[in-house]
Amino acid sequence: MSDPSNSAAAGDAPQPGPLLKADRSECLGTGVCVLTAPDLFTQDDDEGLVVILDESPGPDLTDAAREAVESCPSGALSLVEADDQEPERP
Amino acid sequence: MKGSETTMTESSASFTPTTDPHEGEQSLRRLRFADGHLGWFTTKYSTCRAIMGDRRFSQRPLRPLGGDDGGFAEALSGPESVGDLLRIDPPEHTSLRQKLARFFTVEQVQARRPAIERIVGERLDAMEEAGSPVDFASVFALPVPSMALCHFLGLPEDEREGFEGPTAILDETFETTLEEKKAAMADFYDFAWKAILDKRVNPGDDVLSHLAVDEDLSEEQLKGITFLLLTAGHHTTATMFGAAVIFLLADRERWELARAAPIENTVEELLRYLMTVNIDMPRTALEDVEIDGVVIKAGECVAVVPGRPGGDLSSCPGFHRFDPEHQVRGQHIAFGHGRHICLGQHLARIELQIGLERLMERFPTLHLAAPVEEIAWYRPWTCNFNFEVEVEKDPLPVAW
Repeated sequence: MSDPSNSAAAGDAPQPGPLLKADRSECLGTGVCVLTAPDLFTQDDDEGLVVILDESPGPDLTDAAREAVESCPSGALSLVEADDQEPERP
Repeated sequence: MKGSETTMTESSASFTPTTDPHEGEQSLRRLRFADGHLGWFTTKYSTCRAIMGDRRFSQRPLRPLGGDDGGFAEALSGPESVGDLLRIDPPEHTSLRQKLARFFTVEQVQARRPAIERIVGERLDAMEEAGSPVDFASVFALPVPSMALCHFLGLPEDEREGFEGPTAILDETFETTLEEKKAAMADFYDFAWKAILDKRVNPGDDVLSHLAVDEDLSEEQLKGITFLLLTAGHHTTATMFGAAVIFLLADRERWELARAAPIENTVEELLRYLMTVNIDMPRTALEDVEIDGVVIKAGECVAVVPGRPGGDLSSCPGFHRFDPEHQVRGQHIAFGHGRHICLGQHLARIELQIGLERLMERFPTLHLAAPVEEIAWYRPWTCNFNFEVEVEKDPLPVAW
């Protein structure tokens, strides 16, 4: 974890927001995300499975994204926080 | 722990939303199932939700919760249960559910609004023609969801008896025998198979026509799917209509609150508060699972019986009250949770939204035509915390 006071003080570069991810092999097309956060999700016509409309929801939509991830019945959604987006090391 | 076993018995009980009397006690407690199995039950929101969302639990076997279930579980365990989403686990469940998902998306269901408006309008006309007082159950609550299903699946409305008859026999859990239930299932599957064969010859733009020509689906699966689609969406929504009307009319202030609020909020709050379908399929642990400090051993069964009112009462104290101002989307489990969450939840929502909104507009002076204590409404899928399963089938008299 980075020091919050450090990153808040940065100011010269915009803070990367969390990234919204969907695992379509896990998605069951329940539409709960569309109901919870219609600005962020829809369902495709062919399969009815999740389509993310906005992969990096701005600060005003982060709460809605978090709620959708938390309420997804199949656990197909995740929100990858900025801190975790560093390249993985072996 | 072994000293406080609970068993379930069948009998009637009064309709009053009640908070969970077990709140504050251990969230998972011992339950002696009807077949003698010693398992568990929980009524706590967060525990119910966790178990419903946990892949380490299976939908099989279907174990009767309490008393003599009149052969209900056995009647539902024929070879066709391979098509009943509530009875199967991944990976079979995943592929079948994904196949059905596209018919039940928010957008697909929204496109059915004009048809639901027509159906609701017809039943309100029928109420008016019958005159005050009238039995709301038989004139509105039961037919609206049934006609909506006919439209959605592509069955002629005048053939409703073909599935309403057999399902009524099944739902009268304690009044009908195993033989009667098995015969009803056979009648139902005959009806379903005839409808599917007919769709192969005369397809329409409906769910059944699409499923009928899917080569991946066996005859058993198709029969099982049709059973699930026609039963899961009928008495459930009908019960909700009846319970909502009793609840709102029992206190005029609620009726007025409901009329004033956006209908989406009112319906969502009614779903949360009334939790009319709170008997879920029991889940069996596939491995040892630790939840709330208790280890549920592999093979042990848990009855998931969410409390009323629904939602997380400990983090939202306001949830003890009914208030359409509550923002409850995603915070109730009236449609379940996890991969077995109700497939038709969006359809149920628009039926309830359109049905209740038009009812309140058309009959603003609606009231109960009998004292609320005397109204025993048909609610086969609700369960009180004393674990009495409610099975009354009586009229719901309303007047205006």
